[in-house]
Amino acid sequence: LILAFKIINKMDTSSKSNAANFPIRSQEDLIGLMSMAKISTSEVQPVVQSVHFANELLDDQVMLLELDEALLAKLIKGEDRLEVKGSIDQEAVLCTSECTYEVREVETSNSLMLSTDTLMPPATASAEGLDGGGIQVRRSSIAAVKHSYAELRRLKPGPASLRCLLPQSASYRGLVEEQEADADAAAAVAAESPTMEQLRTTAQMSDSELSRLLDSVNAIELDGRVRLLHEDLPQQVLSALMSAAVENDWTLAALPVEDACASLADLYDPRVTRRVIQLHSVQSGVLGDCVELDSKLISRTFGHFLLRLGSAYDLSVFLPLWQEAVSDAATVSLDHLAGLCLTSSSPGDCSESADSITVRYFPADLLPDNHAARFAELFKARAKWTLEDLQPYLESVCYGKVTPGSLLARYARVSNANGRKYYSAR
Amino acid sequence: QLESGNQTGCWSLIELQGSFESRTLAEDNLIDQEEKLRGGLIGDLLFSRHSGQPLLIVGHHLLQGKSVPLEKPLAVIRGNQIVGVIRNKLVFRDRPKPIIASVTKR
Repeated sequence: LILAFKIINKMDTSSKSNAANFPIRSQEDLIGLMSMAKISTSEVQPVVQSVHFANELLDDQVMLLELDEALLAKLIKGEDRLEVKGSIDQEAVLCTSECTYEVREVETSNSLMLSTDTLMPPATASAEGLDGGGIQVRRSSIAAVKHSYAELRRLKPGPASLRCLLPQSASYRGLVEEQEADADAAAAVAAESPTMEQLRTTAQMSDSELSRLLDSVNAIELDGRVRLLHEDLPQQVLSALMSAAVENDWTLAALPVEDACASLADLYDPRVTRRVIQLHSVQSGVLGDCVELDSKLISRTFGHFLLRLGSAYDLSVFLPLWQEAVSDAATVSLDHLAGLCLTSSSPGDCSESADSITVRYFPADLLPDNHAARFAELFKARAKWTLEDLQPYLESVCYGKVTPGSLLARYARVSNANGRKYYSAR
Repeated sequence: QLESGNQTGCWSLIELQGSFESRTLAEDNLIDQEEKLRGGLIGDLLFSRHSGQPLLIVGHHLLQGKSVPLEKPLAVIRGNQIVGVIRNKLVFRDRPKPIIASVTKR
């Protein structure tokens, strides 16, 4: 379902048909009524309106939606549009090109009466043919009566909602596996994998958030279908690229894309190589002919691979192992693995020597989106955290007014030790 | 650009405390489901000459109201189109004053 909002100028709630049922009230009627209320005609603006229900009420056809001025202005100018996203059984989510909102209904015990022909001051301040005193009776109609309106609440979609739509069973594993798959298996994969357009309308997120998350989960579009890359592939392809670079005297700061893909073609589908290059390049967007690879992203991919292999490493073993894997592509550093690993204590604590610190795989992606549940997991994994260590694990659930600070104020207790602030469970 | 208020054809919002089934208004027997269906009268809307304060005479009650700017604009949506934008509303929330008809008419 795509709703494109346009503006139309007038709605026809003509009161012509009403007149047949209820003739317009006379001036005398109104003046009499006003005098009973102890209101003289000189006290009121000349235009008096008899407000009636329209013959046909539009209660079910009309909806009130509260919008920010900024968003409204964009919609009216046609610079953006609001789209409904998701499948039938899901809660309504509206998206602009950048943002995602849930739609909530706000009920009121009051009656909200909507009209297109009721005049307001100053239009009621003057009437033709009347100078001082005297009133002119007009008829106005209420087109709809509402008892609720809808408001938009900003949401920040995380990788979890995207992963639901991209099954692991359909992930791309490699050339050999793809070629060995029989027609049935291939058909099954195609059936489980959405097209980009299907993804765009069913994933409850804006187009730009979808684009960003497709990168963060290492998804690829192949033959019109969107699939995850098998989790080992990025590291394998990078290793092969780095070898090819050495052989061909290429620098990773200016890698020739086509040549690189061609040189790996026996091992890896060039489209996959391209995607891995894109996922590790400094610039986002369309790939140029020559690309600069980001050494931090390379470092991260190798570190991620090593973390998944073992259960826990001594830091003194892990760091050299990791550096060797990366060789001259980067100088490794634990901050490259933000949101991926947990050390047994916060480095910088004086309590333990470097030898006894262990590091293990602890991905932010697998934490629950629900704030309370997320903090429960975090404090279970480590009792005390510094803000710096916590931030990568809160980043994906923060947006707008929901900041790490506001979350910590709500879900954590702060304490001081050695001149540093630590956060723990309440 | 669509705005509520001053011109015919633009959307306006009048908010009445309670629904038409509420005791105060229903007491007068003037506003009921049938009225609603048949395009019946709700009341008469007046504006004070000097202050612009809105007044609504509903049945035997005088409701005093005020014009309130909305915190955020309300878009009126019909089908998949924004057909109007409302930025102010008339709110009638005060206790309605009963209008006592004179016992004798001169």
